[in-house]
Amino acid sequence: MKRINHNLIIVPLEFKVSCMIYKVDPQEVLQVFIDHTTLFDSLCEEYSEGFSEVTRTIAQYVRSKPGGLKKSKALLNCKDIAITAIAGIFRLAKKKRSKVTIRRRQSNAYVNTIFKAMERPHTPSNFLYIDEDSYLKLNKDFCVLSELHSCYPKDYLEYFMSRISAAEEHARSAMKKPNTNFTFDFFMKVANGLGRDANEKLNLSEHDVDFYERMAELRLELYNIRNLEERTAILRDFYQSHYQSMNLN
Amino acid sequence: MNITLPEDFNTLCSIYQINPENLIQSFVNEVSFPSFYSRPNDTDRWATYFFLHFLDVEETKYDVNEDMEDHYLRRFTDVLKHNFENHFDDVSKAENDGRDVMRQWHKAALAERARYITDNL
Repeated sequence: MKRINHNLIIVPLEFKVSCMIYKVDPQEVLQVFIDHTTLFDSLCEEYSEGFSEVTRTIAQYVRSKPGGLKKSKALLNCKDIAITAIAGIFRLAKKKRSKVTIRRRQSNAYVNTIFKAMERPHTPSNFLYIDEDSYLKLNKDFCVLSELHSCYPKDYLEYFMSRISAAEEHARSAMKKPNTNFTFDFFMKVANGLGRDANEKLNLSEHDVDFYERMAELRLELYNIRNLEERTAILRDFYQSHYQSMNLN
Repeated sequence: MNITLPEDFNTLCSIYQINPENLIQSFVNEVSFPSFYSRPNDTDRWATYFFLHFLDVEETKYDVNEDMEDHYLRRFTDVLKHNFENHFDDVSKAENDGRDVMRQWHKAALAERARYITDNL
């Protein structure tokens, strides 16, 4: 029987293509996603750029999981510690008088307590490999949240990536359909520099420039296609063929 | 028609000694869905691209019946597709058939506008 490898993440083509269009590195986007995952923001109602979109994405995944939530085995032996710590984070989340950034930092102590006490069946390592040479660094918040929901880190990340489609977003916005995908909003924030060094100068090849020009034309040309799926499919084909041609060059 | 000619446009027209009226006339001559969608390889497509860009940015400001737009644009696209599949060599036929659909759309839009006025009498 083939064992499922919970420590190797599958990056879907559509996500790679979306990253190519916005000139971001898939690994970097995933790392920014991990860095914006906190227990504090999962419990906090106030909006914080990046953190809110990420924790809402995770909450959505957990809710949509087939079979519902499993009881966390990781916390079986430290239930009381975990409950006290989560109550502490909850209090911080509700305390609206002090600054969010300060309260988020204060929540670290509670997360540390759970992290030390819990077992780690789903997050045995602090690293998650994307391929042989590159890996993502998991922080304590991310590990604790994974164990709380009995999920593997790759589950969250693969769900995140499955919600990113430049083709669909482009088709949707051209058809003036309301944007309901907050996960894609997060992706665009990262593309625009959130959580990463975006000051690097973009080097566009002639091939790139041709692509962006053709992309702008095609997005306008598709006005006569009135069906969202059909429009998305045409853009998807076009973007993917460019991605493939880039990787052949 | 009363339009303001901005400096950059004026400068260009003046340098090349182009009568602005001629330029605008040649621009509007090329704004056409039937021609644009039946001749994807032609080079006279820029004016219609501009029109589409205008729709993309400004459409929400204009009142268009979206159901009607969907209906006629679907028919328009089907007609061109049918021509492309069955009369590949005859581009003018595709263009004319497309124009027929546009005329029907135009007629329907005017009828709807008239109804809107008469209904309020």
